[in-house]
Amino acid sequence: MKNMIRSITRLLKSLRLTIILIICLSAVFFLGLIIPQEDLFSSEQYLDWKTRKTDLVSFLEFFGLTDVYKSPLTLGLWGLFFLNLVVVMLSRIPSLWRRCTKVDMPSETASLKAMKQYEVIDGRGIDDARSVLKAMRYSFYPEADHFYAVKNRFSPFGTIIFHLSFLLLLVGGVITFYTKFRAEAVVAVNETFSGRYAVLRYPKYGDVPRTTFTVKEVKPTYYHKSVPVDLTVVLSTKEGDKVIGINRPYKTGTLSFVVTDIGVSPLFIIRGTDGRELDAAVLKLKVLNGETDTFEMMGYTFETFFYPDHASETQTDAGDTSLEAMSKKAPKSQAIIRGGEITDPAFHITVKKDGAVLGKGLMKPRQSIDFDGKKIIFEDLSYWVKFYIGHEYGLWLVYTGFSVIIIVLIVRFVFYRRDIKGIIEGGSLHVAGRAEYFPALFSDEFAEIAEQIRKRH
Amino acid sequence: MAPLESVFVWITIFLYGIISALYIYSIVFRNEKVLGRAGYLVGVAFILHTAGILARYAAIGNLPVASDYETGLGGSWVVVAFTLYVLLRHKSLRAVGVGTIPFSLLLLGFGLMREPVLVPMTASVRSFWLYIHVFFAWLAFGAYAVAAGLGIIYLLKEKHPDKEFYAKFPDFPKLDDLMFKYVVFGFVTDAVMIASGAIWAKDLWGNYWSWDPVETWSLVTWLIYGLAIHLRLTMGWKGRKMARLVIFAISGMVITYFGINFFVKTSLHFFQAWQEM
Repeated sequence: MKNMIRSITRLLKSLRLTIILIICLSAVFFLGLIIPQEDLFSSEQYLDWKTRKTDLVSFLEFFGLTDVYKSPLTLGLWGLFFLNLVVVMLSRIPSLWRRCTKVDMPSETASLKAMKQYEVIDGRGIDDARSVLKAMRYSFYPEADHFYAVKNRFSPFGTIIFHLSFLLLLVGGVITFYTKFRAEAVVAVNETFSGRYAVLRYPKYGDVPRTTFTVKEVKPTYYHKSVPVDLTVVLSTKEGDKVIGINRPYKTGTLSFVVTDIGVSPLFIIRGTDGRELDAAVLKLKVLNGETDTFEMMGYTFETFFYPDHASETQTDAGDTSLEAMSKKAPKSQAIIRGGEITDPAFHITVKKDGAVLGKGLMKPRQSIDFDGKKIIFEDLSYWVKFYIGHEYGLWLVYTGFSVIIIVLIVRFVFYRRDIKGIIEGGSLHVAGRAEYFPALFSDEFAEIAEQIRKRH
Repeated sequence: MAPLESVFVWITIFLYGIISALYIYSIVFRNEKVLGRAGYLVGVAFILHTAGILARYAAIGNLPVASDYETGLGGSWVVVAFTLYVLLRHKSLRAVGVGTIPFSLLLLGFGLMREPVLVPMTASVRSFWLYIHVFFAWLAFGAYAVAAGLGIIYLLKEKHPDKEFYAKFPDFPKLDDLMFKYVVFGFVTDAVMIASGAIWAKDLWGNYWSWDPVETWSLVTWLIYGLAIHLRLTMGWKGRKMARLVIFAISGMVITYFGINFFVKTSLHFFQAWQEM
């Protein structure tokens, strides 16, 4: 039993295991790249793929390859990776401590000659070396006829901190995973949001804080009506008015509301021939990008197509090479949406019932279309805004982990450790040195040290 | 492209083509004179490349950091900037351009093929974090490219130990150290790129990490370079092994930037209109 534990510990301490695990994790991530992942598709797209390639998808699903980043294999590899990390680092602390605190006095010149850099300086002594090295911020330890100097003595501990800071990422990642709440909400202008979420994911632990706000204003900005370059959403909250937008979420405590989409929110009224109001609704239609959307009122289906700027919608700008003209001509992949700025709004509406078209026409604000003895009036228009809502704890641990990793990496590779040793023998000063990471580049630094000692009077 | 930008960029790409040919000629025929002149031409091409970027800036009002074309334009500029830095600092490393200049040519060429239309920055990429994210990505890209260039020099020098032409390159330990230094620099800046991307992603998409293909592949690239550092420090991989590894590892960076399109059809990093966010 003892032998088995010793073997396992030896395996977990092994740097070869670290390397194998990094290769395995990279291979798994590569699989995630070439095999379509469920999370990256809409449920409809995924179902469509599953229907078309049933056997293949079933096979991939069986091995967890369509959700490879959360598959037992990946989680197992991560688990081993962190275990290996902790065991390696903990096992290294005692030897590192000894190395960092030891004053490694040289005993004979033969040991100096074995070091990467070595020079013999005639007629110079310990005091000369001390003043030069002290000026270069070396810690200097002299004895009668030999010395030891070290710069950035505790730098090797940076390696431990670097690797252990991955644990902050792990802990932060686990906490965010178990407390993660994701939802969506569509709120129209002047509508108050008070917690009606379309929940995408409930937290496994903990609750979602309550919040309420009213959308006061939505103002998209387009580059000459073509490219959406900004979006301003004004919220009325308990803390006062907040101006948010794309890249500027509304954050309240650990809750964040990310703006993901906007659309138009028209008020339609259906009246009878006598002018009596039969029905009215403020709708949230997704028609800004040229899509057709439908809604139902009083058992009728209304197919809508929206013109944000009806007056100039059909005008062309052939031969114009200005930026806005070229933007309009550019393909959809270049972030173009058709005439987004609402300057002359109009709806083209087709009214249907049981497949039969009962009426159709173009409506501008306060205009109407007659159908089946009734009329539908386009009374008013405003926007709706869609939020992606997120909440989790432990995010600060993740960010701290990232920060520590970066800071320690910089410190470790800039302030790496240098050791210089010297012995007086035969009236000459024998000096040798070595650096941790860049021994050949250290040769210039060492040559400079030797030169300065040589020049001392 | 803006008219002036178009002129500068096309002259630049033409010059990079000539410089690449000169570098290859100088290495194949071991002609030191040509090698030196290629270095001067790199400086000229760099000035024109910078002028192209400035012309685009004047036309759209922001630095080229968003689309595939802009990434190619900016990314290749940083690689050439690193090359120039190495050329000015280490005269014996004049051959580093044999790897980096053809690489920049390919980057810029790839960008030009990806519809370099003039569009202002869309709302989704208008963020302070974008500049930090892209700036550090370029630094990492440039450093990794130079490390790969040094790897090529190392292998060439090793293959022809008796030729006088290669004797003028730095000695092996120095080349090895420099290669490692650029890998380390790339590794640190790559880490900043990933971290700043995560912070930005939280504000833009609501999640700091989505296992998006670009995110995942940048992590894989970081891990590969982390592995290279481990192999050197703990298992003594130096010299030839290290040179081969850094030449291979640059493929990870290339896939992250340009190859993802060939593997996947969906990525949060394909910035389109609002509906794509």
